[in-house]
Amino acid sequence: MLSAGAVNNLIVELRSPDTTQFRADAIKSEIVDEHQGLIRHFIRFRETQSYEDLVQIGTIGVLTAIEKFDLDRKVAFGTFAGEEIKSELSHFRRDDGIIRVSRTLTSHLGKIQAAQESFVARNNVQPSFTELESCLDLTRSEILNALQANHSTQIASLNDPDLHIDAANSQNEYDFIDEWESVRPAIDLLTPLDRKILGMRFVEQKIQGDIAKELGMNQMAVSRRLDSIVSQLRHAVNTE
Amino acid sequence: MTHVSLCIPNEPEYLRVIRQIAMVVGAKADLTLDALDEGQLASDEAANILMKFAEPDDALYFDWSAEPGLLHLRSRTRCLLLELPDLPKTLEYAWVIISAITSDLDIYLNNNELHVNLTVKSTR
Repeated sequence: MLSAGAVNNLIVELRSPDTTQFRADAIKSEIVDEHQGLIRHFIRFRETQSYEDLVQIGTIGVLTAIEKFDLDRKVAFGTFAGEEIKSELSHFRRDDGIIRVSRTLTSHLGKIQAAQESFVARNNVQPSFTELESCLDLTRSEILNALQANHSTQIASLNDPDLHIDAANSQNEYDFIDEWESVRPAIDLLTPLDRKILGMRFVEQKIQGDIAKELGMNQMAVSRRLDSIVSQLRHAVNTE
Repeated sequence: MTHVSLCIPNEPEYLRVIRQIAMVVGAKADLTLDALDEGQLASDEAANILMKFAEPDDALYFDWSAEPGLLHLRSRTRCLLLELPDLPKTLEYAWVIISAITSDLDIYLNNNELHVNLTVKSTR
């Protein structure tokens, strides 16, 4: 494995006017190979896009990082490359997802989420639909359309707690799920966070707001995930 | 009191219509957002249960109604079973889900029809 200093040296060599094209390609290839683990780290297992496509997009992130990396800054190349990989993957997910959500709907969803969070902060309970409506400058139809769109998108923040859940513990915590034979393959594909949400909602019978609070997410994100989880389970049963 | 009825063929493509109606009627019932979700999910699961036991050419019937804080669904289809199987065992995860999100759930056979009636209430 290359040290941060070794990667910097390779980049210095790459940018030297004396470096041949053949050598430059070899250096880029070496740096890209070195960061495959980082690329895979940012790819979610259950993403709808092809895994190979996502690895390719992540590779573009590393190549962009090689071009843009400022050697004078005291930042490790891996850190910088991580941001570029995340950025490339985010653009890809946004622009090439199966369903594109319009800016208007996205903006409405943002307003709904903000109004909901602000209501909960003030009153310590979830707003009813009418209460939510009264906090927003949106029509009932606009709110319903946006909520419907919330379930049509699988885009999630790369900073969400999914990456920080202890996989082993989460799986042991909800062993009961393994008894659901018909959906076992789908369960195996769930992320640790999704298994946790599944158990919290349907076994511990916690409401979405409480799950969201406990996991440091918002209610709409929990809602989106639950919808996706149940769809995956149902799909598994229907394709048995 | 809002009341919406729907009849669909036994085909999963129509599930999205069920979800949309459940959401709109749920909003009329002034549910919270998470209960709105659960109203959709419960309606979806009810439809899946009917589909599981219905014959391919049979129609599925749904009636939603709203009252403050409560979304009710009464659904049915023709069913040739003489008696229902052990539902928790047969429906497995779907049973766990629908039981968890409904405040009232009744599944029964009557006159060669399978009925799935349920209520989702606001979570506050």
